[in-house]
Amino acid sequence: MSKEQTLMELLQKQGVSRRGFLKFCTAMASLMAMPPGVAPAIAEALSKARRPTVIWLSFQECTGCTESLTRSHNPTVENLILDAVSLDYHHTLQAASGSAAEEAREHAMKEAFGKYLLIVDGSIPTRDNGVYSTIAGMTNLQMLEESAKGAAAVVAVGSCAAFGGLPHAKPNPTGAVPVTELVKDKPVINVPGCPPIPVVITGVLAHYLTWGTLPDVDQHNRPLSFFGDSIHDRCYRRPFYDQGKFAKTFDDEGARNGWCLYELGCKGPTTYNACATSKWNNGTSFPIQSGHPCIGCSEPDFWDAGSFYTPLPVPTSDVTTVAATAIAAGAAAGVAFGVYDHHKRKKARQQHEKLTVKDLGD
Amino acid sequence: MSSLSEIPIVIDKDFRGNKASAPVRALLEEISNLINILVESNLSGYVDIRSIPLMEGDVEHLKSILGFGEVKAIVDALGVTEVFETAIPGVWWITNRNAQDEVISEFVEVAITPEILKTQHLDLHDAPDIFKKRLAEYVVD
Repeated sequence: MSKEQTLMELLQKQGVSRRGFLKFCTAMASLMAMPPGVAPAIAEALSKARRPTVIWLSFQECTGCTESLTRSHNPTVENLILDAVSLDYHHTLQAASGSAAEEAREHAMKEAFGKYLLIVDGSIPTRDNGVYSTIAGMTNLQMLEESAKGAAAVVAVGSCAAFGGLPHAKPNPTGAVPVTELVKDKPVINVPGCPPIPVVITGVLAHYLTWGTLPDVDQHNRPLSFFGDSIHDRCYRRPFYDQGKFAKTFDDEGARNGWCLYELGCKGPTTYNACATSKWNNGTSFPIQSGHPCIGCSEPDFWDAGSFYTPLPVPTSDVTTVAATAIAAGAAAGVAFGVYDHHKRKKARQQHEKLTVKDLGD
Repeated sequence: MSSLSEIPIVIDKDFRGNKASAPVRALLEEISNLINILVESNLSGYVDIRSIPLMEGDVEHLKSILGFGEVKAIVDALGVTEVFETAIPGVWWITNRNAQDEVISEFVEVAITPEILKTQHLDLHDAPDIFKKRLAEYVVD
């Protein structure tokens, strides 16, 4: 496929009608967490866009991020997006191997110098000059330095690339670091998650395809459209949290009734991701809906944040007593852990400070 | 110890009775606002059903509140898209499915005619040529 073709021409060659293209753009708007009404504007932008070169480097990782993307249940749209980019190098997906594969990477970098999108998954070991992970005789460190030189932007996919992930967890024997610790002179966007939700990965790609830029980010370089709200704020079990109804064990009455999983260790209040809205497996479910508390996998150093089953810091007062007091005081329905401080919460949310339950109660 | 399969799972759908949940009320509020805008300014609007977390049964409840009108349409492009006008004129329910019949997006469009049903402007330019071709293929002098 020619890289000089516009995306519209490419899709038409695949038999996609203009109405189908509009539907594709509506799905893209949804992927980018934009309202469906933006679809015509996306169609306008995409009809003129050329195929960008994408190089995907896999470092110290488990391949879960690639699996997440390629096992997506939205093959029509995701395939179209993946077809729309020129994925010139990817260890798992490419047919070439050995020196032929490395030549493909070098050729793509040279041809599209300054214009290609570099995607990285996996952390980068740095101890002992990075010998703990090598590809074709090059350390990951060397490969990243070489490949980032000509990149227009870098996307760090998965918690390993974004924050160091599991390899970075104590004692971090390989000296694993995230991409942002090594790449300082290019725009870097983090798409964390262990793994990230597929629509989040393709949403970032879709944004780049449409507008030629990376989306707006938060303090951790995560796209705001997917990481702007905490799991807690978008969780369908939130009414139970507000009413003080919690599952105490995985098989008690509360669990069967779908009550809040806070007391079973849910990290939803301090985790920012799109799980509660976009969900997994094409909107089927997400951990909390399936009865398991959120483990906070899109937050930095979540592996070192203590047990997945220990609740976040508890309030000083008994829940029932405080809830009753709040109701008696005529407080609006809200947090059962004391009088709800809207201002403090809003400020913390804007700054993406991690809230503890104690903060909510102050 | 009992096995997992022996634990009955019951979802209490009736715990709120017939009352719309907070997310459904929020969506209805948005739709109401868009209806007013359409009537006053002839401007279309959209409400993405997946934009807010919905509980079990909420989508069905929202559909039953909006009801079903006279118009139903199927668009076959990159999979099936189902379009129906609700009982409220100008309020349309759109469900986009992919080729594997999975729902890829679902929204309420408040408009005179949904965008997906309109003939695309550029397709119209091709119409005379397509018509001539079909005449040549199917009409025998």
